[in-house]
Amino acid sequence: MQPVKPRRDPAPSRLAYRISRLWMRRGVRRAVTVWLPATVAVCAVAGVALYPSHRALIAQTYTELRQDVITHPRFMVDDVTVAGTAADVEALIREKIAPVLPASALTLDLAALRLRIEEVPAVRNAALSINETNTLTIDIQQRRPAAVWRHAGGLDLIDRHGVVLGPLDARAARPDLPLVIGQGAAPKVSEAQIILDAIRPILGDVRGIVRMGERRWDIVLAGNRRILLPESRPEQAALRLMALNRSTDLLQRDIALVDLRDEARAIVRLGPDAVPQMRRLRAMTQEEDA
Amino acid sequence: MTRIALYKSQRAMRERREAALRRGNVAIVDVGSSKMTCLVLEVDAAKLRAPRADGVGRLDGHAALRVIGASTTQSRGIDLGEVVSMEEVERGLRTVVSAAQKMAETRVDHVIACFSGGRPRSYGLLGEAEVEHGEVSASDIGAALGSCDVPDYGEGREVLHALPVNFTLDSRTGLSDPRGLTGAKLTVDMHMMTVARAPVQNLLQCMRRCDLELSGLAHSAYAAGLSSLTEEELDLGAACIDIGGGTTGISVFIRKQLIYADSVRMGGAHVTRDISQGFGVSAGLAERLKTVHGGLVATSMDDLEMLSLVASDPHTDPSRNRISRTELIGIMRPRVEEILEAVRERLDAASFSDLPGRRIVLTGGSSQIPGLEDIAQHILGRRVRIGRPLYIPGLPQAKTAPQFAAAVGLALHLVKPQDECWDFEMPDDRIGGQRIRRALRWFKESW
Repeated sequence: MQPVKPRRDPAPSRLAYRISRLWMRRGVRRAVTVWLPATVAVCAVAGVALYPSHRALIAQTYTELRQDVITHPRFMVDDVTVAGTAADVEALIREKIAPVLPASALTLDLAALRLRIEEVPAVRNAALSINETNTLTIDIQQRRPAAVWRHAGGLDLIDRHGVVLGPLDARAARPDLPLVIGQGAAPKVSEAQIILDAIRPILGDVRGIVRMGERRWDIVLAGNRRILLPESRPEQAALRLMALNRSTDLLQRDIALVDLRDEARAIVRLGPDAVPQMRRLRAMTQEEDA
Repeated sequence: MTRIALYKSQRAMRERREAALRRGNVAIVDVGSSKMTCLVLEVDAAKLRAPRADGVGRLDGHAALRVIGASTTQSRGIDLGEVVSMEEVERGLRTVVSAAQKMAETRVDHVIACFSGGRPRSYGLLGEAEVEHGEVSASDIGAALGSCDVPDYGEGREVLHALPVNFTLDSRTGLSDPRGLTGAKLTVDMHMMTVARAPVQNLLQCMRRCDLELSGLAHSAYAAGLSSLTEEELDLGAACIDIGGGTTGISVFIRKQLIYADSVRMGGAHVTRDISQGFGVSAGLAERLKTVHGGLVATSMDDLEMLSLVASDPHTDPSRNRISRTELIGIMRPRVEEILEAVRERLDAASFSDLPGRRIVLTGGSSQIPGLEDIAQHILGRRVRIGRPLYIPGLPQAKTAPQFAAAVGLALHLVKPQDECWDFEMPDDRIGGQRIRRALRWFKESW
């Protein structure tokens, strides 16, 4: 048998007993758990709302606290990685975002920054992200130069949508790109591309394609020969020219100009030496006949 | 006390209890000498008087009852069922009530209590009235009840229970509800039980100090009988012996009515005290010896079963280290026999042997001593059984032991009181000719 220890009296004190019985009243419990907190909350809100100094203090504290969090080193973005572009474009992009940084990751407006970066002509699309080491990563999709545009102001590189990517020093620098010439040529560069695709077999002869009066195209061949294309469906006309060339070797002959503007018939202007030559040959045949 | 005062006091008691019942939650507190029990009851007033499913008669009220909280604690400051230390009893009440409230998750304000002290004394009263209109009406019963000759039961005592046992109409006896029967002279046999006023006042004061309102009071002998006697035993006549800690209550029932109640001021605590003195051990160890190893009939095996007295309590200095179980039985048996002898004396004085049923049911904590049945049969001269309280809904398993008979019986008494008759109006001329009230009643009844 275990020794019997004198135990503490389990009786609740009179105060504890009264309080516990009071607590069992629904009204009392409701008053303490619902009405008392509600009253305290209402009083607190009223106390704050009624005194401007309290409001100002709260606003100031809030601002300070917010500023503290925002400017915390953990959230500061100052490193930038630019991917998917050449060094010259990257320099332009860095120049664009230089005034914004360093900034907090919490307040940095990536959408606005993206629009700013996309102002750079060579950038077609930019994807911005901030990673866990607070590095701003800019993924660039660059515009590809599709043609060289010669106009009154000089030479420019343009992409396939006609967006000017930048000036070009000399035509010889990009011999791989076609040359489009004339005012209003750049926005229609895709049309020119289709025409050039159609005359692919003679592409070596082509020197450039000229926008005439901002409405139709001329193809300029070596030797300052011109092919005049109609306003509507110029690619069809180009294909007709190719067919003509294949059957008659038209472009091997001494011609100055092929006018394809009239769909019904092509008009060929002979070269300056060709006319006397033709007359001489005609005279010879007439003599033989005679 | 005059007859009218008896009428009024019984009616006030009934009204207080009914008011508590209407509140829904009532606490039952059994203030015993060795333990206090509190049951929190949820009473469904709608089911209380509901008709039975088969449409015959009404439910006993058990269906309306549900125990939602129960707790028991050791009681101190109570000797022979009476408060001797207000402070200690108050602490015990606080413990037991707050524990039961916590279990019930509700607050109770009204308490029905039972206690076992107060030296109950039974009186048989006889009342007579002429039937006014040929058929017995409620007012005739009221008149008969009001005409009972109240004996002089002495200063400092008050009536605890007063219940009609039997009605006689002319020469026909054995009626429990004579309303509607035709006859000329109505006689009522009433049982009245008085207790000393001081213990009741002390108990009331204890309740008041615990912020509880005492809405009803019953004697534990009566309550124990209600819960541990079966319906048949109650009807045919039986005695319930509630052997508690400090007192042993005796109640005799016939035709479901209490006809005699008494108490012997001895109980299990005296057995414990004998063991404590006999072996020189502490009361705690003595109690443990009694409950774990105690018995009343020794066999040869008990000589060999040695019980250790040391190493259990370093503060006592037992004269011997080991005792045999036979010695323990030898100390317990004379006291139990003494108690039962006293019970037999009281039963003989009440001429219990003249009753038709004559069953005896032992209940209360000390009725669990092994071998008590044999001894009691020998001393009381007839077959006895150990009674456990009736099951009531929600009663925890731990509270179904015989020592909770009084608490459970009090709950049964609460939902099925047998004192509806006090609701019957007594004719006004017996109260003293209050003409104005009579005029008012006539006015009320006519419109």
